[in-house]
Amino acid sequence: MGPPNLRFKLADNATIDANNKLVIPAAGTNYSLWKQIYLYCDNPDSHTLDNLKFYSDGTNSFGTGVDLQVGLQFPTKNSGASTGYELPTLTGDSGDEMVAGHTVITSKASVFDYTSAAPLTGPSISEAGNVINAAAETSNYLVLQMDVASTAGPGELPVDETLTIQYDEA
Amino acid sequence: MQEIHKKPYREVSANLSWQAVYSDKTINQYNPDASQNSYDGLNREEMTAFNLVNDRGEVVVTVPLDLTKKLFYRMRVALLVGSHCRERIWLVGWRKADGGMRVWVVDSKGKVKTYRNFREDSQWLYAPEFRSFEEV
Repeated sequence: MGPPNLRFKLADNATIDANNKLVIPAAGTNYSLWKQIYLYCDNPDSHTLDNLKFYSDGTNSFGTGVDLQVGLQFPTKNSGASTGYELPTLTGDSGDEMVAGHTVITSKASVFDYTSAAPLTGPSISEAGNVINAAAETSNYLVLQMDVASTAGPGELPVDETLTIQYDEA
Repeated sequence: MQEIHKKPYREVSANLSWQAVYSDKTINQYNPDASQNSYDGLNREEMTAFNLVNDRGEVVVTVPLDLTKKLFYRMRVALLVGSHCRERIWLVGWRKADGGMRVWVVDSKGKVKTYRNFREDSQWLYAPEFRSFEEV
């Protein structure tokens, strides 16, 4: 199955719409609600998947004051449990920042720090053998959150960005 | 938590499959009933070659093997979040205990290149996580 489109917003849903927009703060930074995504295997077809990488094109084209962050830890998700899943929370006009609010995430970086030549290694896998080789097996969560600083301009973002999750299969 | 993975991807790559060649038989990745054989389960001791084959049945890469060469093979997949595209390349080759190696890469357009080393700063040519039967 295919990878999703993501829209970062102030609502905890996967709907691609213009509702629940992020709010530009008068000072400092506001955050979207974080999103937790993972790879899901419908049918392994006798294959084994491993060696997951995550990267962007390395260029933030969202414009001044807007960035997309990725958590550098991977909360537990597998075919038997979703123990790493934590509901994002909202305070006023901002989601709660992921390092402060998500108990597993202790550090983060801009997704644009990671490129095809220097990707983030992960998300990790918490299935048997640390591989995906059966139906309904998954990777751990990758946690993403958009930042909006007071320097950002109003309106729609000028571009969509594409993120890549890469893996080996044999 | 919502399931949002159900939209089919758009394939942007050539399609290849493998063949394991023995002196007395060839095992194809795909069986006539469309089921697949397991790469992990192949008998490597008696394998004389490992091929990558395109949709027309043409051999694109042949990796000659003997008991000194440890085979490795991966289909490397990039899922582009936000564009619903899937790009694939194929990585196949051998390593020897003396440090020698050869790797063939078939890119998403079907073009073949060969290398004597992995490149960790490459989008496609970094080393796989070798499985126990691939270790030299």
